[in-house]
Amino acid sequence: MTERPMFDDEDLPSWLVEAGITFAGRRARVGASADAPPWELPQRSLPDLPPPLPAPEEAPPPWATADSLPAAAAVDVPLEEAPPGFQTEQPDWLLPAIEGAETPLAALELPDAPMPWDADAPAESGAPPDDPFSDLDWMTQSPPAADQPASPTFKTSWLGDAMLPDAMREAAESAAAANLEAVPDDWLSAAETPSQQPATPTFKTSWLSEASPTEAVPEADSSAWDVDLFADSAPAEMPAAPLGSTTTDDWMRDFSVEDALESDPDPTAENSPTLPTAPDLSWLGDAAMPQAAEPLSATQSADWMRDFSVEGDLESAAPTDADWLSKIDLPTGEDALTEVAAEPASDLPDWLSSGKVPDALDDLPAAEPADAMPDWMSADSAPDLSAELADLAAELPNASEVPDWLQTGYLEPRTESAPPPTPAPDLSADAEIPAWMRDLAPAPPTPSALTGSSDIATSGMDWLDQYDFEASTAPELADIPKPSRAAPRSANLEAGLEDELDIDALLAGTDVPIASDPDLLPVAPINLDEEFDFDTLPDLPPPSDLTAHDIFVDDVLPADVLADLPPPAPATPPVKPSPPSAPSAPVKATTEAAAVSELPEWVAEMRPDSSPTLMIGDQQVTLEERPLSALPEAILALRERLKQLPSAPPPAESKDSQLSNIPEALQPPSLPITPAPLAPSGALATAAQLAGVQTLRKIAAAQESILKRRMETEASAPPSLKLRARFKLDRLLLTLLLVAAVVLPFFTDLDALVPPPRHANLDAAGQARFAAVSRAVSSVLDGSPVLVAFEYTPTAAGELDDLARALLRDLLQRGARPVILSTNPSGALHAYHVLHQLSLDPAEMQLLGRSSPLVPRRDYVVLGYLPGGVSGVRALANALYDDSFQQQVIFESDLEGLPSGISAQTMPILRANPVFVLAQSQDDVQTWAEQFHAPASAPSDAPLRMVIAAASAATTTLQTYATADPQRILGTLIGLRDALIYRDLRDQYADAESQRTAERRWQSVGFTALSAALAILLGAAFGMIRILAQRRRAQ
Amino acid sequence: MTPQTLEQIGTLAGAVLTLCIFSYLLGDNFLYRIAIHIFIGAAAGFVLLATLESVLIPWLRVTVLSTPLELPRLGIGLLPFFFGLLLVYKSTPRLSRLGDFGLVIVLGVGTALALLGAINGTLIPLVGAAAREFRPENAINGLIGLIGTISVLIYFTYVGLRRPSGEVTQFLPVRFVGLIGQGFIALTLGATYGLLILSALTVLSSVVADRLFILIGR
Amino acid sequence: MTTSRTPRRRLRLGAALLAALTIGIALITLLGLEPAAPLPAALNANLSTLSQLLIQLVAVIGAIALLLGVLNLTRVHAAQLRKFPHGIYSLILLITLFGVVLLRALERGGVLRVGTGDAPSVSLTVLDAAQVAVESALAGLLFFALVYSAFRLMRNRVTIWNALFIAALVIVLLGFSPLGGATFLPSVREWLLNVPVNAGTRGLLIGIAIGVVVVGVRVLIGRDRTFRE
Repeated sequence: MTERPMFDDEDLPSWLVEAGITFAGRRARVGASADAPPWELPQRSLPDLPPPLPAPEEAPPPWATADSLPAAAAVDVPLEEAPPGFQTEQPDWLLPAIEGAETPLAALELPDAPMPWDADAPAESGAPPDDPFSDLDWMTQSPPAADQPASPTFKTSWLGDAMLPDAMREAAESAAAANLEAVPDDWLSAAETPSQQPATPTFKTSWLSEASPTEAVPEADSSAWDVDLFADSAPAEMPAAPLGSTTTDDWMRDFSVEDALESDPDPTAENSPTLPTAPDLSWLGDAAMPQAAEPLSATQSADWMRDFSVEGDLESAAPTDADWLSKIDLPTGEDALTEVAAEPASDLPDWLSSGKVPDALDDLPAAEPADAMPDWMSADSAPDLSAELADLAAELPNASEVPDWLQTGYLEPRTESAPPPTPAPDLSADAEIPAWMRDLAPAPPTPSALTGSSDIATSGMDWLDQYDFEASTAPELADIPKPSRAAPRSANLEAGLEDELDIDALLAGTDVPIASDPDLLPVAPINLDEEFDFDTLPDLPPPSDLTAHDIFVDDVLPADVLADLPPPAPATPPVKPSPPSAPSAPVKATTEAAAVSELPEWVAEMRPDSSPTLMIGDQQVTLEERPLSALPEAILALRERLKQLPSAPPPAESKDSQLSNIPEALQPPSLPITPAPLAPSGALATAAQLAGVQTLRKIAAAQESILKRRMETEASAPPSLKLRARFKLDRLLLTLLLVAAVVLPFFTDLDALVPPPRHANLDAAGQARFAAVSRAVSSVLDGSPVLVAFEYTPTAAGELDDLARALLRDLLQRGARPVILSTNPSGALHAYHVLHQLSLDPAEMQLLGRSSPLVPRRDYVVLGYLPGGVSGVRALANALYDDSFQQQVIFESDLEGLPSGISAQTMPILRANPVFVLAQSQDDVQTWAEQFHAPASAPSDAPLRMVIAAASAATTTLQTYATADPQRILGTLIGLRDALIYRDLRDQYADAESQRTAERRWQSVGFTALSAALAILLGAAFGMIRILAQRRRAQ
Repeated sequence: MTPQTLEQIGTLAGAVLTLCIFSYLLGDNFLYRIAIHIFIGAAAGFVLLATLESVLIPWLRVTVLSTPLELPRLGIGLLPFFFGLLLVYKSTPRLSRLGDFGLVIVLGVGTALALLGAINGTLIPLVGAAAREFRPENAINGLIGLIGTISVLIYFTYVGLRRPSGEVTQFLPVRFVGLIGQGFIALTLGATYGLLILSALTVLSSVVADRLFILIGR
Repeated sequence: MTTSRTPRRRLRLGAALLAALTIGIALITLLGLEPAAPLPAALNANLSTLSQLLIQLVAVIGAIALLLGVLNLTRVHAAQLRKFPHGIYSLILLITLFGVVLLRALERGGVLRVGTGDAPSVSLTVLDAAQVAVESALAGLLFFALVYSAFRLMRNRVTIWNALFIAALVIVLLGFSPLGGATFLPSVREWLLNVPVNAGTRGLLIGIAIGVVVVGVRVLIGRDRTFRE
């Protein structure tokens, strides 16, 4: 039989590959002897294990062929529950062998060295247990070195990968096809998980590494087997190993020997067991004898069960030839199957020879309670396996029965559903596929036990049901029960194990427990011919009471053997061996799974949530965790320290990540995303800026404190103080000073100090300004309307009324008819009032040379105010040129809504005469300067002109526009001074008293301005002195 | 009541209100507030009257109430009221967006007017004046004026260079000229402030002379 | 060089419509006031008429807005009537407002007439007494505040710019009137106002005009934020 890779090498860690778990690794390691079956290769010496416990005699191992085992009950292989991935057609070598043909399993040779789980297994005098994993070369790794931890931990990550149905599917689609040789009916490679199975199985088989034979076997459920270890393995590539080969046990031994594996860090990838595909079970198919194949003997069947710490019942019931698996020649294709089927039936367990899987391990005889019963082999209720195991062999119908652990359900995601009915194996329909192989597909969870009381096919993986492989996190390794050693072992096997099994690595660092643990119930030999109820396996004691030797050791090895064991070599610290409990029913492993977070995903999936149960044929063994005491002190100390640390919250698993839905996956570290501090792009504060910022902060804080103190003071101060606080002395003094300065000129004569303004005292520019205004006023025709824009509110009336009166007087003296307008309603009203007051003053009327007061809408017109500000001025400018209804709107009615008397014929006159604008602010000046333009259609030689009289505040803007556009702005008058000058120039004083009054006002303004300037200078001086003093004090 | 009596009453009332306003120098008090509220009420009333009498009623008379009734005039006459109604919705949170349509025409026309006025009324004349400032007969003043105008414009330049440290600094020549412009701006603002003080002072003196002295018979 | 990516705003139909209307009206007004030579004369004439109409409409809308402001003032103070003591002041305000309107109505109706003139003397007297006097007084109060502020200018910080500010201020005030007949200060004041201040004012006005042009162009190209918020 040609080699075929059991696992994809790239999926396995290098150390496993180097350990030779894969064919490539094996080839690399073995070299010329790569073609030899793995179990024939020189195996590493494992620590010496005590002789296995005697295998139960009543329960033959499931693999016991029909010839070797007493007539066992036919194992009902629920073929209907085979995963859909499993082809209904079986490779030939998996088909029930031709009657009389030698089963392939017979060619399997189990390693002679005792397996670790054989330590406590009852010695089987029969054939060595069949080693279904004999082709796994990694099992033959050298024993751990002396410096390795005493309690080696076996890491079965390869199993986890191998048990991924997704991986299986992927492998089936990709790598598996490449790795596998052409297998016509590679039903294993095309194995698929059943539809009810979850997509991401979480079967965790690290229990395989740390299973303690003393713990009860968890209830196994065939359907709970996540992934078929060998689903993708090309049967043809698996070399047939002769039964009873000493190498058969090695692989099982290596299950629990991490250091053994680690010591050989070069397992070839080809043989890496971490294939995400089911391992190649072709060799098992070879061993899956046709129905005519005789079941293995009890001793033979017990061997492989013993390898899984099956109690002696199994061993007694089945051939104890542990090398039976190694003797199995795994052919490829139908020939392989036939060849396997042609193996001597006596060499194969029934389930292997008949191609059927026993109905359930429940059918197997219950193993006798043995103190070396592995946990994983025992059910929660510590079933009595001895009787069941003894009946197993008898119950096994033929060699085609495959133990549940080899069924697909072993490695496939388990479901929480109720155990489906156990369908009867349809050998006729699936003639090419042994029933046990068919049942390798996950079967519905059924309560099963190594005692075989349940249907093997359905309960073979039952123990996996207790674990929720869909949980986000894997169950604690500690929760994974140690496999119980319910498999009976044959004496030969024991001898073989003693001779060849290197359990040094296994026992490295372990403390030899007292085998006489009352909890360690003796396990009856498993009768593989009958249903083996692994649930009846005894419960194993909690791992706290166990030591590192628990795995496959405590329950198996008798005390004297254990005492002879060398101190275990230091090995890498195992996972926390918290006591798993043998579940009696599928236990939801969600909570338990959450505890396991350190393991790789594929390992985590292999772990059962509590005591993992390994289905070996129809036997169910429970693995248990390694105890803490097995850890080296340094690791223990570290563990204690870690306990004290606050546990970080589990990282939120992203649903979109590739590792989603995979529990116990190593979540990517949640990198704290600290947003970068916002900073202006490229702008970095310098030291000076930072100092400035600090200063500002201090200032703000100081201001706040001052305000707070003030508020508190004012709140607590008596009312008198509050009133006093309102008065500021400097402000009061200044006010008084200014008031005095304003009032004093009215009571004194300050002509000498502040002489009145005279036109003669003006400079040329000033005089030019007045001349221009005079010219503009003089240009107004007698009797013609002239626009006068009162663009100031009563706020500036005190300053501009004088200018307004001066201009109006002048215009009225010229006979002009002022047309008052304003963009402000208050300005228009005030203009109305000014003219009204002017008309009521007889002196003014006399000055104007009028005998009658001015009559509105006759002597003057106050138009309605121009709303819109800028748009109003623009509308006025347009209305002067455009004969549209805009003229009608603006000029038709006055401020009272009465007809103004202005018609369209007046427009040219209005355009010709300059507009006298009385502006209060710079905005008004700017508005008129910008907007009072003739439209583009107007002739350019007749621009709209204006004379702007503005308040002092608009001086700068007015002068700027006036100097910029002297053709449009004919002249400017500014403030009270110009008004007085203009009045003086125009001789508009009615009498001396009015002039005197005007001059007093000028003196008041002048003197007050002087006072204000001095006060401002004084304040500036005081401020500078104060600051200088502060700086001097600061220095 | 004669006009003189009315005038006297008015003058007296004005004086009293003026004093009430001046009482603010002593602090906020009820007299001041009364005077202020009287002023606001009167101002609002007069604005209302002026708007109604001088703008809206004539507008309606010209457009909506014109005879014969013309639909274009009618539509034009109602348009301002329509937009005005939209403006009312600006005060409501839900329908403030509707009020934006009332501002559309105001914003559009105002933009056009501002644009034209800035170009035709300010930019072109003032730039020309700045160019004409420098005359041989007025070289120094012209130069000062030219420098002042340019430096003030450069002071408001917001173009800088980003240093490697991230700090944005102006170019050295720009900074130097900007300092000069800052000086001109300080002078301009100081002079404007002084002129504002003069305006306020002029008003104060007028108020004192025209309103308060009446109370003392002057 | 850092690139800042401005988040793209979702184009809203309402904002787009508003912007389109604004741009259209602005363009019509512009072309009506400043006709473009390439356009035909008839179109320019129509645009001119349309622009004038738009300007007049805006003017009337301004008046309506003022009216709405007064109505709102009335509503607010009417709502405060129930509060004390603010209610008293609001009552005074409303009484004054409606009193002015009533007076005007009576005057228009010929019921309340003083004198023989056609001018509404009562209304104008009330205007003078209530509005002009108060506004003038308020403006007069401004003088004290301005001077006091200038008095305290140098109290907190002394800089060259503050010094220039104070210097120009003092020169303007001192040179307002020739003290004692001295014309030195008035001359300096005149030179200050005509030369450096004029230059500075010119620069400021040009800068303001440039800013107005920029804003106007932004409105015309639809980049204004008025209708985006």
